[in-house]
Amino acid sequence: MLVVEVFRGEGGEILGLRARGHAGWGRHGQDIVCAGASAILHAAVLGVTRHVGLPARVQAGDGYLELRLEPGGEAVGKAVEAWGQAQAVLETAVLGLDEIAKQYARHVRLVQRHGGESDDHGT
Amino acid sequence: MALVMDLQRFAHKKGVGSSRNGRDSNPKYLGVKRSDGQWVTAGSIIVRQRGTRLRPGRNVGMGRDHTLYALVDGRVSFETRGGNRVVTVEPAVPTVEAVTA
Repeated sequence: MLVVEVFRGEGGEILGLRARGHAGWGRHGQDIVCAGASAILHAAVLGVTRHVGLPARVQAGDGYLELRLEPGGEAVGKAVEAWGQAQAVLETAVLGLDEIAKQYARHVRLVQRHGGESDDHGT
Repeated sequence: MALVMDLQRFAHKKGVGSSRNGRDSNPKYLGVKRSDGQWVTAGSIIVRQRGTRLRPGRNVGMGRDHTLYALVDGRVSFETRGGNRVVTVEPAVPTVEAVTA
């Protein structure tokens, strides 16, 4: 089971994403659920860090990918627009992941975290 | 940190338990085909087996694949002789040997 957590601030803005686990839909190299989720997550990280240029902390490993925006970074202070762009990128990613979680509920779960609360989809 | 695009980041690296399975042979249809006391005609297959789990006794022949078959019409009998399980066929009518003896 791949669990994707969406960390949101008090205003509902996305502060980070964390994906852990393995989709388990198929063998390595044939797991289309993993490939779909991986593509969305990687694109989101690349969009935020390279296209938008927002400072973020990224950790990646086997079965693990985490992105944490750094609200205190210089770029945020300089460009509120960049923050909005990052939100658009991340919200788009979350929409895509949510659709995968709905279609492959046994393999992907999306968890929305609002200051400690959780709202599961696709359990 | 340079993020390497990995489309299998969330996939198990080992198979899902089926990579070493998935092989099977065709059925061989072995086994005892006639039971004790059953009437058989000459040529009837009594046992299909691998090796000689059952040995041929009186009026029972053995094929090159160790199949046991009746040599005469009669009733099948399963016995144990000297620790070996033996299949015999008791003829329905006296054999030529029996008549001449």
